[in-house]
Amino acid sequence: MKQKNNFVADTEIGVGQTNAWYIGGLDYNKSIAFYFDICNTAALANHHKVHVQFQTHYQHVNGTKRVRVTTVQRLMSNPDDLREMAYGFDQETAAVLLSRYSIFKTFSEDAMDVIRWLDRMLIKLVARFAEFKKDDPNSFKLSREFSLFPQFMFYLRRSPFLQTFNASPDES
Amino acid sequence: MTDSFGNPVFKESFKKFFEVDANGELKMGFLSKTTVTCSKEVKVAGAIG
Repeated sequence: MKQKNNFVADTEIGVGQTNAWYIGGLDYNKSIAFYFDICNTAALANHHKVHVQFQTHYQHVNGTKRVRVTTVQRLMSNPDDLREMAYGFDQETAAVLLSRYSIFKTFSEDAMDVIRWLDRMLIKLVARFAEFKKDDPNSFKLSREFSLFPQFMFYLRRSPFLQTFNASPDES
Repeated sequence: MTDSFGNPVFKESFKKFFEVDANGELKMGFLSKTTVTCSKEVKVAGAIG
């Protein structure tokens, strides 16, 4: 809706530059991924609480207008405390969010570029959170929270969502 | 690969689409608008539906 205000980040992921969206139809299986950016990290003291509120207005089939409000509270961790950050990592959620983002990217970019971008994201994440000694592949260790994430990325980049070669345009 | 309106896959999903709840109303909402507000430490970057 392009309503820019204090809640809106400068970076855009998906449909951004706004904090309000129109959705033509909603049903029980509808899911929308919202992406957030952390700003002002200096103010993020240890275990700072952050609130996010979603207000959804919609018209029910019988004509009544309804409002659903969901408020969530998240505990933020210190950006320097990698162990705690890793502890809060949900690899399945991360895989879903990253898949959605990469599929969205294929609308405007070449699928190969998106795959390369995905690889870089994985490398960045692993370089930061994995334990390893330099030049010793056997010392590589990922903590439990990240155990499946590289596999998820592996299957995502090989999936027909991103590997569109040999698929007709209506299939890809 | 054949597809037709008589195909049971199509028929079932079409029925599912117009399924109603106990009050005889469609299980859907329309003309919806979602607004996100958040604390000042985070900002919303976007949404992907």
